[in-house]
Amino acid sequence: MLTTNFREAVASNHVTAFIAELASSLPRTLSYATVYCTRLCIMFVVAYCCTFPFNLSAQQTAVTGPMMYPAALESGDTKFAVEMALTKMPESVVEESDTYRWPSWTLDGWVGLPLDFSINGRLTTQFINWHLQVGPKWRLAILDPLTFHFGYDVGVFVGGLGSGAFDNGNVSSFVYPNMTIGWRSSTLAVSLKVELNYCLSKVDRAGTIIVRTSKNFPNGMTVGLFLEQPFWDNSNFELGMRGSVLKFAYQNWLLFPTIDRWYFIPELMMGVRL
Amino acid sequence: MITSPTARTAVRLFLLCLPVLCLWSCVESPTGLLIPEFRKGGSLAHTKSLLPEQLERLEGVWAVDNGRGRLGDSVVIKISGDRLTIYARPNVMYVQLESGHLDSVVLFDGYWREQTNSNTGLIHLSIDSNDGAEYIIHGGRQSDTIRLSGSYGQGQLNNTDAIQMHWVRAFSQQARQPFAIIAHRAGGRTADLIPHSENTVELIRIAERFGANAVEIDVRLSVDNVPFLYHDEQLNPRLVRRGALVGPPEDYPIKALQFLVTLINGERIPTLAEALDAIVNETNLEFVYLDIKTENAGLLSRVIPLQLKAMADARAIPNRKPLTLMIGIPTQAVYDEFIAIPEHRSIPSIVELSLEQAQQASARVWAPRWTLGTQLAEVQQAKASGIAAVTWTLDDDAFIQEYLANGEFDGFLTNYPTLVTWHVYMR
Repeated sequence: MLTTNFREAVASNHVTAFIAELASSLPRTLSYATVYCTRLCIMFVVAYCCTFPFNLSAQQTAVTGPMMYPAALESGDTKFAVEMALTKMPESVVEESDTYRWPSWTLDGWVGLPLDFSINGRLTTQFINWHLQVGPKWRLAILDPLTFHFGYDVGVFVGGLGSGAFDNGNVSSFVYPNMTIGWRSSTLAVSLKVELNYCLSKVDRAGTIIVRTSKNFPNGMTVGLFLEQPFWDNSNFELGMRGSVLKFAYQNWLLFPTIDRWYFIPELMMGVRL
Repeated sequence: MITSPTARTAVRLFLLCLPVLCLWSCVESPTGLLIPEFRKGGSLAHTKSLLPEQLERLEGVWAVDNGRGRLGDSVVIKISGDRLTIYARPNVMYVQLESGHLDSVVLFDGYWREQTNSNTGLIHLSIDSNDGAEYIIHGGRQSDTIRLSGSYGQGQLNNTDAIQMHWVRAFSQQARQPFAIIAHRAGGRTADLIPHSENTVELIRIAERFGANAVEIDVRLSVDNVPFLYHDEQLNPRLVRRGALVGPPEDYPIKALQFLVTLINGERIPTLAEALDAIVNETNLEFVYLDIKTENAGLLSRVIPLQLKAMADARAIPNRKPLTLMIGIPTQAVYDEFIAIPEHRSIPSIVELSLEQAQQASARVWAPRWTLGTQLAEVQQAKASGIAAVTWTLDDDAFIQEYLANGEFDGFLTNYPTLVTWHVYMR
């Protein structure tokens, strides 16, 4: 009979059998290691392929109407973009649930106003999650080619799931003071956006029970770095990385009641200006 | 192609960051938390330990006079396992105390912890002779005022903030009704920064200190057919330190799992037999929820004999509270395997599927997910057919309050048994 403890194994002279048993696990271990390495390689290839628009942009010479970069927008002018974001949720929140790793889709729109003001609205969805963020921005361009956007957005989140073992809903509201610093050359616009997040209200529903928790709290911040390049036919491709330190990441609304703590949440974003 | 050299450099830097971001986001650092301890026994070094009947005089609801910012307005004090525990509501705070008396002063040393963050520290409390210590030590007529006072600090620091509270009332009849406070994964998730990793013997031993009278543990089957405790489908950084093994734990023999895998807080993966031995012999837990996490054929046939043996062992221990172990049935496949067992009606089980299936399996308990609401009609129907109802996994403060007030569940499975204890005993 084998022992479970190495010291006991040594003491009872069963070391050989013990090591043989461990060695029997080696091929399986190697096979899993191969799988993990392959996954990492695939992630690298995917990340590399994300840059293909930079090659496609050879025919274009200038970034026109960038979305993230604080560009000038004439009063009454509009511009729109579609974005996709892949979010890595904290393991300790989602554990093994792949349900919460769907990509999110965003429709981003701008309307120009006089005096370098503009209105920016973003509608983001994961189908069971809907988030609308709208707010004014003011553009400051005194250090050209560095330009700035100062904004103050309000956001409303609505989530609902009524299938299987879930009958839940959530409505939350937020404010997002934000600032963007942008730099551009003729072929590239680089923007750094810092956004604070303050949760104003949070209402949860489970079945017929509705609770309005006093979640009026500073919810963290997000820092994002975005690159925009000419794509085709006067459109742009944007590639971004966003890192958030948040307590209540609305994508996790179903799981938030169980863990109330700060988490780092990285995101990879891609978008095309329409 | 990108023509500007600066732009090209920026793109290269960005590309360099991407794989780093991918790698970074793949792992999370271990989440251990050091629980502070008094050095050299603290103030209890030369005291006489308080007996359980002396500690019982402290049980009840207390009003906080000083320290409301940390403890809230009211706390519950209750003997929990081998400790006296103070249960508070804000930030799921609890205080675990050891006690002793010296002449006519009662002394307490211990630590406090807020479970929704990583705050923890030492705490020292006392009851002076004028504040009810005589009554606590010797009994007799209850003192008009029992007052606990002392101080607490962050981490190893002591005596930085004052604290004072006074006894208000004993627990109500409603609070004393049987109610299952089931500690998820034997005490909480590893991510909750509890003193030991989830699903370990070490955590089982102290589960009662969190107010739990029951535990839920996750059972899997090793490749050499030994049931063991582990939650996730993979050996992953959430639960284990980096080691030689990766992939599903079921792919390995139990000796490899126990020798080559170290859980986040340094423990080893226990077998079910080891866990049940600890439950029977080292705790007074009344109910164990054996959550069958794998659909391997043959797991039930190996778990059920251990289940029945543990219940028989518990019955043989004098003065031990009755212990019921239930086979948790979370999926249709496990359900099908369970009802195929000829004597399944006599085997205690807890069914997470529909109420009808719980009834068909003659389950003792029906366990719907909390996300469906209080399901009052179904719960009443279950009780009418002799089946108790518990819900899982209920952690939110407001929902716990609502489910206790408006629901009729017989227990909650929770990662925060201290918070459920506070709500149950404040009633």
